[in-house]
Amino acid sequence: MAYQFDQISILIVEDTQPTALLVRSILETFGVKKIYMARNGDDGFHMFCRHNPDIVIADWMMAPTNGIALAHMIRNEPASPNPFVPVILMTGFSEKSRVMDARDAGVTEFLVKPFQAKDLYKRIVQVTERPRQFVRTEEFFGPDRRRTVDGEYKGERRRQGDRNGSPEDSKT
Amino acid sequence: MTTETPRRAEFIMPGNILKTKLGSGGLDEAILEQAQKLIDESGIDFLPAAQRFLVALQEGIRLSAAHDGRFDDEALIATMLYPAMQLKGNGGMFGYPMITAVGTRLVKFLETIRTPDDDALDIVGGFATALQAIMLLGEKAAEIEEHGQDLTEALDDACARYFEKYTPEEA
Repeated sequence: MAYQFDQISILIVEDTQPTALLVRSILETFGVKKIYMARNGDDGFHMFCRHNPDIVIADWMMAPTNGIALAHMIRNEPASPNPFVPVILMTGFSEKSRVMDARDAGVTEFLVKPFQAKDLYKRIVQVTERPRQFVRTEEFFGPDRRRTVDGEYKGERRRQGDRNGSPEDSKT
Repeated sequence: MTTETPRRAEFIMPGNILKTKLGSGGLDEAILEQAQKLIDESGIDFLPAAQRFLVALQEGIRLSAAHDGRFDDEALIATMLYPAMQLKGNGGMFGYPMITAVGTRLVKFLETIRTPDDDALDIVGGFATALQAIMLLGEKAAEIEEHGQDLTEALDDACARYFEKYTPEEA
């Protein structure tokens, strides 16, 4: 038995055409048959609402609407057909602060460019085999950002503010 | 005694439709190798896109050098950071690891500085010239690897000199 990639659909949102074509080719090699393409976040959200794909792979930096804004729309817009869909964000950034910003917008996984075929495959495996639970608060809706297990912290609450002794600061 | 207001956080574990559709068993190693070969030998011409990003970078340098007050420092740095990040991220995908190597250093530099002053713009200009040279050669990195190390070392030295003058906190 192997993954039935022909049973899923994927939306690629990328404004750099050579990269969009390359990602498409990689997914076709994996066996994905239904691939939708968009060139920015607005078009991407339109395509997402129209086709309701199983995975969204988006670039971070696009104009006029970037991948972060797209993730936010997918998670929060009433028109979104599936606010739980895995969103894999492609980016040249690898700085932790940038990653945290994107996590706050509801991105599920990151794919740092340049990447290899197996890196893309690993992200698909990750969102398939280890899906994140979702959290809804007054300020946030998206995948649980607390995947990292900190063996040293023994408290009941795990938000950063709790560790510092300030529950008010922990509101995210 | 402190009274804590209960937090209203709802945790939801959505049904895994993706897993239901994909099934199990993963992907054959041969398919992954085939996909990687596709990246390595794609034949997709990245240079036209790379040249557009370079022009955008040069325009960002020009805007920043104008000091005309239309944009704040963060916005000016962003005009250079966007194309730099695209070059860094995409170069290596299309057989231009030198574009990625230079782009990586440029992104790091732009993420560290706070003000695009003349000294910083000289450094960014050096990066732009290096990127232009790589694109003009139009050769894959393997063929210019020998000079590539000299180039990246020279850029590293330029950045180091800048940060000797301005610590990252005040840059």
